[in-house]
Amino acid sequence: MPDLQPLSRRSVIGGLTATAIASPAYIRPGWAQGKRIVIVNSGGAMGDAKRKALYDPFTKATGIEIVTASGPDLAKIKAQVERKDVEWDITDLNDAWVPAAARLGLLEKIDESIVNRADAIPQSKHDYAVGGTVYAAGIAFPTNRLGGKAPKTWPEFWDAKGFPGRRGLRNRVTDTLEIALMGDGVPASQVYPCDVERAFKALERIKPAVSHWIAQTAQTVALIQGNETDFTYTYTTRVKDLQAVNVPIDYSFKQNILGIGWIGALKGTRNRDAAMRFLAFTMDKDRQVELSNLSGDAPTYADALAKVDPATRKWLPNIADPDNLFVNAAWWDSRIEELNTRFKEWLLT
Amino acid sequence: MQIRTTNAHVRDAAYAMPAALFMALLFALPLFSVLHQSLQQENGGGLTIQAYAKIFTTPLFLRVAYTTLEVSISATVFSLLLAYPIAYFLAKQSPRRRALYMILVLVPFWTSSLVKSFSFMVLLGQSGIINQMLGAFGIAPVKMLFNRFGVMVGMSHFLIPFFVFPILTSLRSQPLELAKAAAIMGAGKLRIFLRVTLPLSLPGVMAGALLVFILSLGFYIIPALLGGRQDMMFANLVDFYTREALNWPMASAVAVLLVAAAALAAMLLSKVRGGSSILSEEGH
Repeated sequence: MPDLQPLSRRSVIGGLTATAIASPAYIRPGWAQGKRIVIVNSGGAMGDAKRKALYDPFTKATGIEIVTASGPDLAKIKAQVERKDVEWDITDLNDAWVPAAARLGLLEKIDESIVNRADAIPQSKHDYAVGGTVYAAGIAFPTNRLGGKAPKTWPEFWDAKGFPGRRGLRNRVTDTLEIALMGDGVPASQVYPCDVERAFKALERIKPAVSHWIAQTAQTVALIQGNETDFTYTYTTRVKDLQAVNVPIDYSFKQNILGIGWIGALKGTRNRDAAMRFLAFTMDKDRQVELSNLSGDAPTYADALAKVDPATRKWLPNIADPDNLFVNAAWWDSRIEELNTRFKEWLLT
Repeated sequence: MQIRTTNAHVRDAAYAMPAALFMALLFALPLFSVLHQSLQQENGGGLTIQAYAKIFTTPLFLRVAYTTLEVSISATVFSLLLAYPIAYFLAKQSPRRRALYMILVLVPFWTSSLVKSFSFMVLLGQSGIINQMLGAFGIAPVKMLFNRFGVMVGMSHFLIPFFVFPILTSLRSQPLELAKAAAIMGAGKLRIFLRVTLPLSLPGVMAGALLVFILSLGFYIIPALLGGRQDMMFANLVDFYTREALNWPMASAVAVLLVAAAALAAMLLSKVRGGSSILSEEGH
């Protein structure tokens, strides 16, 4: 029998190292060292803008690779965290989600020793999320029909006789309730705490003039283009993108609903440190200016506004305008399920 | 049916094992976990029937249940009216032509619901192809989308093949001599159809109707895309409780009731003459 040399520890380790070096970079377990994080965003134009303004520069600065997934979804986040199988490290979050996600323990607390956001506007601060952008929503209308006559404020939108036309609103209660109150004449400063009964009465009044209760954001403007609606609730960025390709559509900057584009880290992420560093990166003023230039949403630093390209700046909402309304997610937190259920019931009748 | 040995039964059971295992793992087990979820309290804790109690007192659920039934029944009737003539026509063709036409029946079935829904928007919209044609004749645009009509068009487009095949089986199993005998006795074509062909095809109609009804109960994307604000069905309600309200016990309870309704209808299906042709090979 030949003399078999027993495997030494050193030869095994040496062999493994050689294999690791020989294998291509993409099969090395980079995530184990926090060299790769997964971010879920809504994709589309905003996803592209974030790739250019945030993700690629972050990788360049830190060596941490960023992989994106499409479609943030609170139910999927809940499932990942509860099963302790967290696949997404960072997620974009809607206004209404942040308090609920924090309450349910789905997000990591923001590490203030890493994330510096002292100068940011107060509306963009939350213990469990950072506010990277300010978006604005309001009324959009076609410029090639109805002789250009369109409602520019919510009371005008609610005036079906004065401004005849098919209206589009969202099929969810958040934003819609606030709009209804403003349509009924409540000034922005007095919308919260919402008078729910008054809002539903106002909704009842406009119901016959609403042809679409829209589920998907993309549909808001698509229905105007397709001549299915005349006036719709939508976002500045949607109208800006359409005007850029000469679609006859315009937008009213009066009485806009302002919201924050939130970003948070999933509770139990294996890359907590890298995730916090990324959140800190999104709160960098220059990065926010770049993102604003590319996306059309506003930065969350008041003094960064002046640095945005003039062509983009005219599309940015005026955060200081008292007629604009910042969404109050904290007011919604304890009420959202009950009011959303009531709203869905109301839609069916 | 011939008498079989125990060995044959064991052998047959062995053939069914892979599929049975597959279903147990990927259907029964998840279904059990949904059932378990539906018995959870909203904020954790022990088992409870809280979600079911809440469902039956929520106007939202009762309305959606009513809409689901209404939509499912009307989609079944609408599809039957369109499918019966197709089956009748197919039954009269030579086998070669029938095979060709059957492919045509199946083509819409092979197209994704999502793609079809968007195509219907192009066809039926206010500025769609049909309304543009009507406009050329000076006819005002007809609202065919984002209402119950849109849902019916979308659903029957998907459901027709499920109706055509059981009816076709029923029609083809009729002895040709029966119609000939009726003709010799002096019956006209209409009378032969009404008194002989139609009654004999009813088992196929019943089987198809139950099958189509069961499928209708679970529709989701078509009512969401082509329907109006009132066209909310069970599956859309499950989606609402899962993703918007984040109330998973409620979502699971609605899902359990939906499966129960479908199972009940499937049991009825096995009791109908002709239903067996779908559930086993013994009919035809």
